Amino acid sequence: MAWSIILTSLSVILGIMVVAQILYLLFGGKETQGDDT
Amino acid sequence: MNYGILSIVILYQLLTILGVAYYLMQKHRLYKGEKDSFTHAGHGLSVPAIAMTLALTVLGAVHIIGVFEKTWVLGAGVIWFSFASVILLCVVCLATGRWVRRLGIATVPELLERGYGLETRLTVSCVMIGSIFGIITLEAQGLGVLLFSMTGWSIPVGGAVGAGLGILYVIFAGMREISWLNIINAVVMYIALILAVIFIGFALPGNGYETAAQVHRDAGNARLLNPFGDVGVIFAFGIPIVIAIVFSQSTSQMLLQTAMSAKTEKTLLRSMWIAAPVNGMFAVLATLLALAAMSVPEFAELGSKVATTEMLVSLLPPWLSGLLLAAFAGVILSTFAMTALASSTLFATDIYKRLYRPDATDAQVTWATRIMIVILGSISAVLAGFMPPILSGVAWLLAWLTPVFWVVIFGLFWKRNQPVAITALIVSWILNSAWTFTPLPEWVGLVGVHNAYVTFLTGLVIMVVGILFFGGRPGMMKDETLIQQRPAAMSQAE
Repeated sequence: MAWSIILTSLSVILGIMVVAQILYLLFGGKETQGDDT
Repeated sequence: MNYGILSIVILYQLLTILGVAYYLMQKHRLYKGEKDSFTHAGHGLSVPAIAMTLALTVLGAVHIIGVFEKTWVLGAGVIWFSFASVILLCVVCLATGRWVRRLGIATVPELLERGYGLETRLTVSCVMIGSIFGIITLEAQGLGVLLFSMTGWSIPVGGAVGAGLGILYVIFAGMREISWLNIINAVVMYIALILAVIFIGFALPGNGYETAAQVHRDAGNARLLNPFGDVGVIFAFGIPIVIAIVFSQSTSQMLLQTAMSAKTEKTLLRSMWIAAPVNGMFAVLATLLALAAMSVPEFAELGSKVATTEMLVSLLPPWLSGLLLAAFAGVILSTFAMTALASSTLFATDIYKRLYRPDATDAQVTWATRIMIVILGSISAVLAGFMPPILSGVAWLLAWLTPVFWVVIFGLFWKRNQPVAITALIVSWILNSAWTFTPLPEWVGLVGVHNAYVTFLTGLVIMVVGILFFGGRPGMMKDETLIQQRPAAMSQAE
């Protein structure tokens, strides 16, 4: 039980972060580079 | 009374808080003359500090007491609470936090004055102080409940001791102190939590967690073992909690003050990869412990409120249950301290300095912030015993900030119209209170619908219709002069 719950949740959390990062690169990536030094 | 464990908890907190405060006082000269030093750590915090502070700010009493309690009903479905927090942290690190960092503001209402006008700033500031103050009282209550489980103290006494520690957590060096303590607490929290999960696995009857899972399956509750095991839970709890948390917190001062304190925008981008899993996995491990407690009749018969804590105190060696409860206290204290700092910063910047002392120096604003932290922290301790239970209080409190999301987003990217914004806010807030304190949900046949849905939709509809009818000035992100109004301190930090 423990491993199955831990691994399922960890995969979902990583999935959310990857999707968020892709959305950021698609819609917000360019503007940030200009502002960050 | 379990004085051994209690003394470990109090000693751990006092040693870490006073140790960090002493260290930062020694380095005080380095930060002398730094702008926003107390409230925003001079806008110079690094990735570990930002990541841990973001992670622990949205990890509070609800994550511990709420998860332990709700697992009884929702099983592993309660982990949706984690998914909601992870989405929130992604939104803050990649979007809203980055925007406020770029605009160089000290408070969210300050952004609203720049975009809409002073009236919007003051309206939102007053309500945001109240809403965040409500969360402080719930955290004080959470500390009271935790100390009650260890000592049998009444909740008001536990709340008062907890509030005292919470004030010390922030009063010496503000944001810098919170971020240092959060790094220490996050490390200790994970060591203690992982060890507890392992120890409980060995202490459970039979084959550890496998036997516990079998008990649930035999009772016909296999759905409790999978976060996606019950479609009803996903629709009744999962999706509503995502909407409630993401839209109410992504423009709240409570999280964005940390984002404003980041050294650069890239600091925030990198922080997401640490903050989201650190926050998200906490409730997962807490759910495992609660599922284990549910499977042992001796603890299950104690009921959802105390079974898990009782199991931890009974089955773990005293040093580990002490360390774990100290880590739990640290988790609640970190949220208490950050919410106290956020609401006090709102008062000192948006009301004290903006309205009454425009010429106030940074040192005077810092003292006004410190005094407010003590006042709000002390009142919260008094109120903790009278407040409704934590879970029912949170729904109403979070819903106050949901319409602010639309006002901020529309003002940044679409159009700005102050009368429309204020109407959207006030109508949403009236409906929020009517939804909780009158039979309105029954009259309209929507009993059980979360307050955040109501304020979320009301705010959206009024903003869209109002702007379509009355128009407005272009969004702030389209106006270069607004983006370039950055304080000198932020340029130096970069």
